[in-house]
Amino acid sequence: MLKLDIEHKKIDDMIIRRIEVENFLSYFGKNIFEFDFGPTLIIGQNNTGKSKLFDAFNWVLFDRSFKTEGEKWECTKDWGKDIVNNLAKKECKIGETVETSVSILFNDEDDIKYYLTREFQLKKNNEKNWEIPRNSELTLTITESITGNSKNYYDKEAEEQIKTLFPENLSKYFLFQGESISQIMSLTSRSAFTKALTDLSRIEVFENAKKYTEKVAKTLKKEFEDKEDSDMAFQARKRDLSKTIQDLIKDLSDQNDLFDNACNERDIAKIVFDEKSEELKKYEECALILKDIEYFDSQWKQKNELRQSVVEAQKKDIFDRWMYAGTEGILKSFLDFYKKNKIDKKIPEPIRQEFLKEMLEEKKCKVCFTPAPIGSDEYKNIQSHISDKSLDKEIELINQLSLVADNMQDKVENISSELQKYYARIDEIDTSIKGFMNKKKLKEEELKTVKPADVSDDELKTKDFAHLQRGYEESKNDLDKFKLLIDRITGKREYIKQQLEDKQKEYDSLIEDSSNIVERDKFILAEKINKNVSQFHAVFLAKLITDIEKEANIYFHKMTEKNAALSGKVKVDYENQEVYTIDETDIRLQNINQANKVSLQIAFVAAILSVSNKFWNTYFPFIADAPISALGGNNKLTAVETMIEIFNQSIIILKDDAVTDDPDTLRNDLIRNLIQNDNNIRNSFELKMEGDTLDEQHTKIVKLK
Amino acid sequence: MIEPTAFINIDTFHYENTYKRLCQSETGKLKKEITFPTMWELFVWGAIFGYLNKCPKEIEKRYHNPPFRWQWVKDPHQKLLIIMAIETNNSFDILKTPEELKKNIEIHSNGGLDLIHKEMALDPLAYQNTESLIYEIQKRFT
Repeated sequence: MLKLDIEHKKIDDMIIRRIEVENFLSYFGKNIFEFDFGPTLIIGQNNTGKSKLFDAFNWVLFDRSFKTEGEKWECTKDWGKDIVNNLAKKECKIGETVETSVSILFNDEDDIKYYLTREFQLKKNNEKNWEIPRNSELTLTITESITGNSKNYYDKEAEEQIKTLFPENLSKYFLFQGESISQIMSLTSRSAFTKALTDLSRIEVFENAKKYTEKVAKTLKKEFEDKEDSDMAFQARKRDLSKTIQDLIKDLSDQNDLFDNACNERDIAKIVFDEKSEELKKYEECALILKDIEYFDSQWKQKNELRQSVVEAQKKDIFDRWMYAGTEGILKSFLDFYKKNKIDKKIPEPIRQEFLKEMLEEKKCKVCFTPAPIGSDEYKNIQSHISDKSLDKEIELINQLSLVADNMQDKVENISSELQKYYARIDEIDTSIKGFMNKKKLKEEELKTVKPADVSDDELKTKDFAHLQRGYEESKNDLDKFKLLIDRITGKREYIKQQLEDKQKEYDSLIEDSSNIVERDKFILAEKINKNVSQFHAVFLAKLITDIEKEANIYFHKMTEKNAALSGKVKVDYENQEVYTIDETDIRLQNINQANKVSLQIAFVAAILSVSNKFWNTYFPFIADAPISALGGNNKLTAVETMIEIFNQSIIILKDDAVTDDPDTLRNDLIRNLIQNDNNIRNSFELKMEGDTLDEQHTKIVKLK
Repeated sequence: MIEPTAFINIDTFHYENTYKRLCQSETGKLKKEITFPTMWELFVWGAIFGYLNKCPKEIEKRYHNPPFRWQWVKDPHQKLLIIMAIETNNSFDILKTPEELKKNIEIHSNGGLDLIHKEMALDPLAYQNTESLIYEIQKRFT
């Protein structure tokens, strides 16, 4: 059971203190992350469990987890046994149950502590058959700060409680998934734009008031106009003007409809365009990854061939020398034996043989010149030995053997060091082979996450890029066509609006002379109230937009200041419900690069969240998975720095950069330096993958700070 | 001296189970992938192993058609085998009886091959390629 050991101090915001992840997806056993006020940075390379941690937050709060293969969020029921860690399943004995759970501990602004746990059980009937005894269970324990009294809530009740603290419709803003930012929020999509504003700013309160006063004013206007005026000419003029105004309003309404339709068409075209560019980008990304895979594969093959050749190159050494390894003792013993025989003169020197031969031929001693005792037994004996060729050969052989033994003894003594050198070389090549194999595997895993779900690897290799490029161009043309249409309608709308304003003024001036004073005054009053509410709405909206724009600009500027590409200023265009960037002369920038576009999106979402926090005094922790994955190099660091400045508590999960050719750059040094040097970052973790086989791999947490 | 043309006797069991397995191209193995390029090299390997472990073993059933002659064993291996035979007998006299000398080398090789065969039975990967051969040599140092 988790200890509720939060310090007793006044805490102004909602703070997540801890998450415990047990046997959930890539997490084996119980894993604990402690958090604090301020930023926490979590880093790791691909497939180390980063997104699974983000999933853990989503699972415990909203019973959902992101399935990479299907690219969608699924609940426990749909995940089934797959939600349980593979190693935990492997180690579970038949007939026993494996427990999966995620718990978070957090406190609100009144220092009330909440301990929320979602649990799931899986029973192993046999190696292939698993049973789910019951679906996931949710338990919430709320503990009062002053009294220390606790109350438990279960399942539906717990869910209701959590909804009030973490509204699910806002979850995509405080549980921010960077890799699918384009799906979460297409900023040129009107509906997404409005939703973002209304979800987070609660501006709908004013919009509803505006609608109500409009309705009242309309009713009273009808009453006034329906009542005949005593002056017939006046009545006719009033009717004409009213009719003209109605017609203009209708025209404007038609134009607004056309505008809305065109905007909707444009949004659809934009979605298609985004899909096409995303598809093109994905395939381009896939092509790059495939190229890397091919490169690592060829390097792996080359190193294997090199290894084989190094091994085979030893064959000569093996049969020349190495197979005599260990025979030093035998060789030494032979040489000792040989030397002893030599000393004992059992092996005559060849020179002595020659010498005796010459004496026998000359028939006299070569030293004292005494004549040879020809015919004596001794003479015959010596003569017989000298003529014994076999003895000659034997002595020659023994001497040769001693030379061979001597020579081989030296060689045999070196075999050990030669073997060491050989194994050092082989180890070096093996490390290299393993390295390339790992890199290839990493890229293959990356490819799985990048490539479209329904496309096989073979299809990917034969994909027609020209066709994709054409599709992209066509969708771009469609989009431009609707943009032009919107510009035309906008011009026409402005013209009608001006006419309407003129006629309205004329009408307002005319009705001053009306004899139906009561109806007129009621109508004018209702109009004034309506106008005031509209103004109030407009002022609130303007303030909101200004604040959002201001904050978004600060964040955007910070994120892009080190980027050489043109960034511009953030413009929140409520009228057209778009967010884009403008230059110094307020002209919209047409082609901002992808990194700046993503920075703009992050800045806008962060600004809405930040302004909303200030307006409504609800400070959500900001939990982001790969928020900077789509950013360019220079924007990344500043984006992280900005995010950790904006939010009172941020838990930011980041991917380590992987550059293919150089193994040393598999680390995101800029981010690591930030973790090291920024005192605001009190907690930081690195995630790694352990285990050799797929069913043994699990996340390992290394605390960096 | 051993007659250069003298056939080297090997046990039928080892011809069938060890020589054929380690010196012949089975299942389409390339020549370079065969552990022992020639039979005499395996014979020498076996003899060294036999002398090192002091485990001579009489040939039980001589293979009827010996596959190589003494002269095929290249130098310095011929001499090194003779050196080991002399060392084992602790006498140069064995040189005077070439048949005795040849037999001494043959039975040591036969004993060594017995050990190799046992090792292969325990570890099917032993002696299967050059790398495993190097590993066998490495084992002598540990």
